[in-house]
Amino acid sequence: MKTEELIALLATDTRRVRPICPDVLLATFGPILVAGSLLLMVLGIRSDLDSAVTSPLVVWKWLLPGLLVAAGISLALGLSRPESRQGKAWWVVLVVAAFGAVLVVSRAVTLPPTNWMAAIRGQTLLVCLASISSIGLTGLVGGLAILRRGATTRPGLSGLVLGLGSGGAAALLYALHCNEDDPMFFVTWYGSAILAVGVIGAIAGQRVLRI
Amino acid sequence: MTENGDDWAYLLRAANRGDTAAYAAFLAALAPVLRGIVRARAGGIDAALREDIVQEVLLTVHLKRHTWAEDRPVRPWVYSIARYKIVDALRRRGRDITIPVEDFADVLPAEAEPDPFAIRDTDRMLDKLDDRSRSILRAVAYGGTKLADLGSRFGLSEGAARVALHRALRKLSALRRGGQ
Repeated sequence: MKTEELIALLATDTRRVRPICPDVLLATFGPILVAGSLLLMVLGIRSDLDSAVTSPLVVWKWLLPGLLVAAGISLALGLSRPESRQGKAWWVVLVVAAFGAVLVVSRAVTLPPTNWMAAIRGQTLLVCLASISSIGLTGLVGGLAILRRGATTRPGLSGLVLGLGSGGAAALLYALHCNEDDPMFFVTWYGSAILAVGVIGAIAGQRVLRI
Repeated sequence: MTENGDDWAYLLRAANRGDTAAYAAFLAALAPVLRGIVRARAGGIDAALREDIVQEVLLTVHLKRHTWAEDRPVRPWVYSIARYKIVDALRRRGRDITIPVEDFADVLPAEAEPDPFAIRDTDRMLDKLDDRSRSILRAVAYGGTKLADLGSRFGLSEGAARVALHRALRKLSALRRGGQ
């Protein structure tokens, strides 16, 4: 096929593709909301939710994942344009990570080192990891399917930030159930589960988001 | 070439409003620029292979054209896709290169060179497509078939023919990406 023939062929394809932003949001958060609500119906919502969200130490269980959702999704959408340079949103991701570390350290110094392992381990480690990562994955899969219509030139990175955002949204919902309020527990395990979804997103993105 | 960017935005905006001639003019203006880049960066490989890469970039720009927003400049957008695809295409052919984006402004456009080998990647990939996609693409590319006639020929409505053509191009692009 000569290049002129290819150009004529391409000009004949007049199908318009919709902008991806609204669809990405729907495909990412829709499954997370459905899966998260189902899980909350099974596990139940913590009875002291109103005092938890007003506690200056516990509210970080929602604030940190919330920031990660905003940063991750806006980075993923931004990166879906090939020419984009996403400077600022990276800072939010770094600030979330740094703040998590500060919470852990400031809690750790109030405990004797022999109690650290018990504080980290908590009571519900496996349920926490399984819930956040599986709910997060539903959003990652949905979001990736739409993000394929975008044109990222950093497919692994796009998958990573979408995964961090999805994992963050899952943690946000799971925190409505989870009553383990020690930062050494929730920063460690929420963080690990979110990171796991991010890493899976990076690997999957590398495969499915290539243009 | 500074004016080119504005010309291209004008053509692409018209294309978004259904002006297929403007769209073809945009792609025709882009092709020699791509050729110049590929030749400057991979002059050692033969002309047919370089033209394959130009076609690969054109196909990708086409399939991703909705990621250009009308209020944004065209050139950073189209050059980002081109740079990514050229690097990717050369890497798959065993050459590792990097292209600074500034290079795009300095390279002289190049015309297609006479090519004795008619069978190129695009044709090889066409052979791997399913029968209907292949027939549709051939009818349009070689027969100059219009969308309306495409429908009647394949027993589809014009809308269904439009979807089928678009899907066939996407499959072609996926084959080129995964193939070789």
